[in-house]
Amino acid sequence: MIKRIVLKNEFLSLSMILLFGIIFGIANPTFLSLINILDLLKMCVKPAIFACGVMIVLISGGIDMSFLWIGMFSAYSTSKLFSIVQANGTIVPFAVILLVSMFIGALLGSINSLLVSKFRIPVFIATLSSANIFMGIMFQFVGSEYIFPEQMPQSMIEFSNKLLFSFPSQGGTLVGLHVSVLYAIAALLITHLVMRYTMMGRSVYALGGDASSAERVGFSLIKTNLFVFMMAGLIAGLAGAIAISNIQVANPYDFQGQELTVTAAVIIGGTRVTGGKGSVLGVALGVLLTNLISQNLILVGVPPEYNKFVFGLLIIFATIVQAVQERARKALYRGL
Amino acid sequence: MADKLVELKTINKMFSGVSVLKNVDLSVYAGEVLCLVGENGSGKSTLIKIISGVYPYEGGELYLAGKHFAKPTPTQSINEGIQVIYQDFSVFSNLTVAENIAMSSNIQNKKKIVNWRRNHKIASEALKKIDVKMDLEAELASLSVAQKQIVAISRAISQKAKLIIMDEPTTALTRKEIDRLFEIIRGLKAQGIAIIFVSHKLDEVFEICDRIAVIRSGEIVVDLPVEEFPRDKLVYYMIGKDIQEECFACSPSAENPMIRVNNISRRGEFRNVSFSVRPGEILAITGQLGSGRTELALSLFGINPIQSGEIFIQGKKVKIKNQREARKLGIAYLPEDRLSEGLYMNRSLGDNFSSVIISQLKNRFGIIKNAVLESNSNYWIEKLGMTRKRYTTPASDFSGGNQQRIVLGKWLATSPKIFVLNGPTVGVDVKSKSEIHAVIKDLAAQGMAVIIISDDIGEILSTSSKVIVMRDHHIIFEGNTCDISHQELNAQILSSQAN
Repeated sequence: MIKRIVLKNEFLSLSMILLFGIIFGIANPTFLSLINILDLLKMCVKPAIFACGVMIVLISGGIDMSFLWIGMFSAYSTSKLFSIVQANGTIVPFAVILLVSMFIGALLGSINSLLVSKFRIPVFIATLSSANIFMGIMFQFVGSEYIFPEQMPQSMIEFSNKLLFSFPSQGGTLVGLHVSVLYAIAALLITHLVMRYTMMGRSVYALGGDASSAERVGFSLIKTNLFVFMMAGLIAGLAGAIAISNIQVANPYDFQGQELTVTAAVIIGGTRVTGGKGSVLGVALGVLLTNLISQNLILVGVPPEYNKFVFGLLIIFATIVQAVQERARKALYRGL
Repeated sequence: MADKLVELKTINKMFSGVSVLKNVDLSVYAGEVLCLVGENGSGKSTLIKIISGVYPYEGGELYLAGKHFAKPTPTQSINEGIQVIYQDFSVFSNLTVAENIAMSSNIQNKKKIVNWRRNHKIASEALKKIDVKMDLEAELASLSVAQKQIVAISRAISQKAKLIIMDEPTTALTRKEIDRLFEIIRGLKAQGIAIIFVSHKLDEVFEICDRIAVIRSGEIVVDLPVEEFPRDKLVYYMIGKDIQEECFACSPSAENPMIRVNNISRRGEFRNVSFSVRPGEILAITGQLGSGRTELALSLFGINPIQSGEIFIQGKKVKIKNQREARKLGIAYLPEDRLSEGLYMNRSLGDNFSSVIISQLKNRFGIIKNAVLESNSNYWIEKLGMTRKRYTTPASDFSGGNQQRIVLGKWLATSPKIFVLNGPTVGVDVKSKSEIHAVIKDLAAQGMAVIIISDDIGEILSTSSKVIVMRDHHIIFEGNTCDISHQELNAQILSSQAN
């Protein structure tokens, strides 16, 4: 039984979180303070939601290079649209903003799906080019200037100030659990339910495992592909809108260059790069681990420039551990 | 009389004007094991695909479970209880046993939501029907080929299969696993499920089948119960002519051995192995999967170097530490799995033929001329009897027998002194098989020392002069093939089962 738990892909990130937690805790006792933990959770919100979409595409056997630009396109266009609406005197509730952003994201995702299943372009190439196209369209037709808090839809600003269980800290500022953490948890939970308990979700695993077998047992690969990229787009739209709200500014360049940090978290969480395997629990742990490291490395005296270096080592380490686990699993089950 | 599950009446099928099936009449009854035997290209697979609704048929009538189907679809065929287990099993190695088994029935029943408890129930019921115990939570990647096959069979059962078509199910199995498969097949039969067993291996056909149908050039040439089937005529029916199975007496062209190995060992793989092969001799090394025979072959080719013992080539002591050294010493190796190890599948015939000797074909500027490639390929095309083949055709377009010829030619181009062939005719039809055997014998006659690794007793007896049987990593028997009968050799190989 213990052996089986050790052999789970999620085991690595869980044990690393504990390990780093202990190191950071010893090095700097403020690490375990409530404020620090609440801050860490808020930090995880954006990557965690994005990671859900990245995981789905990875499981299906591809690597998505477009999710950040889909997220930005959807969120930026939505906030721009509703800032104009607001200027005309109509206040729009936050839920509507989220839904519109998710809708735009799903629409852009379906373009990815078209490229992949209709034109048979490899996912990496298709999303790399679509990311640039989305960026170009946005800068040309939607805008490229910052949207500042004064113009931002009011409900987004309100959202960013919403705390649960708030209390005043020693310095007098109000601290608490940020409401967006709940949104991230909900996104993770729904992704988990969809991927584990719907045939659509299972068809993604089948596709990532063996596409021709998936077709032979009766899955429609076109449908599955559409689902994968619409889900990924929808999630990116959600992540983008929440991220923009949280920082109260829509900066079109804000997400640039974060593709690999998010993808790394997903892979460290046990999602297989070649497709077919991955779990939301693992992804959540992977995001927690990478953010834990980037938040606290400085506490143990490592300058923040070394973050990427540590991430790189971590990815190599995770891949090796996964290979060792795979071999050990074979030894465990062959005997039966 | 049992129920007729499938009935084909004068079925015809053409592919671009070429008649592939001609007036095929065939019936399958509940609870019988029907063997469908035929060479590659005889129309076997087309026949299976018509029954399973993948191909439409042109003339004749098709009845599934008594109902007439003019244009059956795969779904209709599945709904009538027909299941095909292809050679690759179409299973998902990234998913668990339970999910693999239950997946098709979930799709068939148009489920939207996955009920994992139900998946487990479906899987354990299917496994119970064939009396196999398996960890339902195990991921398929961690299972053996035989276990994956069991999963594929269970999946077919879970879809209420009445007829399971198995396409060459024993190809990758050990003897022990084959016995287990046959037990499962007999169990299914007892439950009234019919099996169509497609095979090349003649021994198995007689062991498991109730009825044998032989298909040749699109026609059923004979369809008889196994008791009435003339055993010695099977090959004749398959290829339309007789192939002699007699022992091969060699005439070594020199007394001194080309290769002599003395007490070689490699930990966990083989120990204290000694033998010698003279020029012109063909030595067969046999034994069950896992007996050490393949590991031994890999060591001779330098892939897994030996750890102790000595190897002499033409009387000179040599060390074979890697493949490059082996090649320099004049050793060639034909791998077991030609698809993954032997061929560049999507490269042309010419590229494949020249791949090992590429450095000899280039001119002094390091450039390779097309004309050189072409003449090199044409030489081997002719030599290996692959008439009317173009050197630009990709290797993937050839049949199993021809692919094996390409791998052979690729290595022969290096003019080796010692040729190690691992399973030279696995998955090759009877006619190509005897042609490949002729090529091998011809090579020996020209003074090459040949070592064949094989578990095909007929092949060993008809092509080799000496045979070595391995068990548990060492040699348990050594003899001349002319002094041992088919049964005796079989008993030697299977003797490991006893302990």
